[in-house]
Amino acid sequence: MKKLIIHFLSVVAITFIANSHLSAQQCKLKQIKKEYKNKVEPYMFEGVASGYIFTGETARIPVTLYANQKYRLYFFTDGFDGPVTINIVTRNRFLVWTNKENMMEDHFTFMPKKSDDYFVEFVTPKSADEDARGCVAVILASRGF
Amino acid sequence: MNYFKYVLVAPLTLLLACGGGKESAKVDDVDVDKIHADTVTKKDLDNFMHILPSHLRVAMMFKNAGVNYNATVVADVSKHTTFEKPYDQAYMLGVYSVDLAYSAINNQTQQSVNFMKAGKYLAQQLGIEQIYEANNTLSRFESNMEDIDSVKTLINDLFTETDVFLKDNDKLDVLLISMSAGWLEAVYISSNLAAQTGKREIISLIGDQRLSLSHLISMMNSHTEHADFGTLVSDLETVQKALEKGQKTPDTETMAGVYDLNKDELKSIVDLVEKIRSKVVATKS
Repeated sequence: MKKLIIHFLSVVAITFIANSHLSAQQCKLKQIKKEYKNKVEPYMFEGVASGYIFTGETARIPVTLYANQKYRLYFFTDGFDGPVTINIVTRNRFLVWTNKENMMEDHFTFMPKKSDDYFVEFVTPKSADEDARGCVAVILASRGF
Repeated sequence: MNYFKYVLVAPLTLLLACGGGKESAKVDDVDVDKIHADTVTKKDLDNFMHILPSHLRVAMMFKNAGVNYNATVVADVSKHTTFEKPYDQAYMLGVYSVDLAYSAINNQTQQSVNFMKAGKYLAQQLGIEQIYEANNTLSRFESNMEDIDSVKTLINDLFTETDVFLKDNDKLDVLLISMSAGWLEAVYISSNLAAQTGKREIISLIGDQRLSLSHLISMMNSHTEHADFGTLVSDLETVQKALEKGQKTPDTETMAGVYDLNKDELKSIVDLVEKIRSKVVATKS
């Protein structure tokens, strides 16, 4: 029984270490680019921004988009204890898109009517652990090169 | 206890990360007037880098607007070994990147190879040669020179790799200097050709470049304690003021206002950008 417990705890510890490492790596832009470069096809990977935030916080990642260009924005989150609400808003906070209707939606296809800055907003769920952090990222893909 | 939390969260995280949305067959046409988002009460975090348009995207848009190739407006690539200060090397990396995109999409294949070689040389001097070496970018570029789609893909990959590498490795000074220099080079080329042709489409795109510019200035102001940008920020602010003169009617939430530059305004922008550019870019003899 003692051996079984030790074995179980070892597995848990290894899983924790591996998962922690994975999370840290997953917020690296290089890793995100590697993961999404093919996933965004037939669009072309054009840019990425990521960062860690505390759970329960809201973060906004700004993206400059040109009028009449075909864009697809992908959203990546990792390390949160629940679904993350994602909104795309204009600089004056008009809502362009939200995933509230379908929290599993991981991208949005968009052809802006005018060149402007758009903001991808991540509203993350609170966690019992105040120090818990998660990774959020936006991947910009486009067509028409 | 925390161990269990991570173990339990992992499948959920995986599920969220892998959750594929429905494939959208059409490009959504969104009317942003309809809904106003809830006001965010929590503090917005400002530690994210803005996603700026790539040099290739900008070059393609200018080409589509009627900017043809003009060998007299690109930098002299033969002088790429003469830049010894890291600031100048980072600056020229940005200049050559735009010249690379501009020449490649206009089928100036040999010239684009030269710009890529110059960029690789400068990357070596700056200690960031991994960007070029990781994917054998130069040799693949030389092997695919006749295939414009492959060329675009390789250039786009090089630009995104550069962006990712510099951000991941906290080389924001190199990133911001080269991005700013690239921005100036794009405006230098386009304003010169707009002055020659008077094409409204090109002028309108020059106006659009103000979006990236304001973010570049803002990002540089946020990082002045980590890097010496010299007079670059104030130079860019001067260009920003000159470009603002073209905004004839204001934008609305959904529609762009009228942006136009008359001959005098265009000439003053050409002269201003040329003066700033000449601080670093080797002038042709």
